[in-house]
Amino acid sequence: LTAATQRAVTPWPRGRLLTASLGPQARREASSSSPEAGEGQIRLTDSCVQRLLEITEGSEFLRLQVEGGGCSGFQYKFSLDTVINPDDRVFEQGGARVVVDSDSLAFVKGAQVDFSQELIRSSFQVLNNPQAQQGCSCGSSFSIKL
Amino acid sequence: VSKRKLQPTRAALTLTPSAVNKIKQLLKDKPEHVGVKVGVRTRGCNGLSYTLEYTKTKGDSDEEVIQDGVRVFIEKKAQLTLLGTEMDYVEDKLSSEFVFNNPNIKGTCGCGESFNI
Repeated sequence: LTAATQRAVTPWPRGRLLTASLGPQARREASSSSPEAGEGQIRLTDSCVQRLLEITEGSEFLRLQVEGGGCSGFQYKFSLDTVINPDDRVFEQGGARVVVDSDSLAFVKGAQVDFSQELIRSSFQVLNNPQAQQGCSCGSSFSIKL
Repeated sequence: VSKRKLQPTRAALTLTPSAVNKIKQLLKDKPEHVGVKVGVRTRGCNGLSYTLEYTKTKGDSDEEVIQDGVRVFIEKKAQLTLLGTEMDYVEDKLSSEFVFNNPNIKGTCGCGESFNI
């Protein structure tokens, strides 16, 4: 995943990379003021918000990570967490929060987090990920555009 | 693949108590449906995935399993792959799902959803 992260960082505009090297504080400021901010967002569907409000307690939120693995090379991982780290980005909607670390965000920015309910399974899903080239049909694993 | 000899004493499908309870809960609000039907479809990286749906009638070629008051129908295509399988229901905060513990499976993909026999 580290090698892939390095590759993913390379296509970014040079100025962005320089800003990133200045440290987390500068990165947060640059990120919030950048005209690209809108494109870097993660959206939550109504069912995702509703489910998160049901299951979270106190300061809990949903953490989304991307890790290596799965049949297409990368996979999404969801967990409940209460600690926000310096490199985390928080996306809030309707009182529900989804937190993504900056490395994972490079792979999911612009995507939608959904809570899908079928008879056989109910779970959180990442939908419409513009960074994903293709995924396996169950939706857990994906490969990235280069 | 050699043809598997059917053993009369082997149940086609067994359900854990949590699976039974979940199916009862699902059907409670749907009096017109008599049970659920398990099927199999081609998808996923290992070839096959299970499907599950409500059903009002038993299909001509369906196999029927009745356990603790719930009915599960098995589509013809799924019957061979499901033979001897235990159907469970696993739940936590983030997700909940029916799980098929199938002794016939030779391989599954990493997330466990698709399999080959």
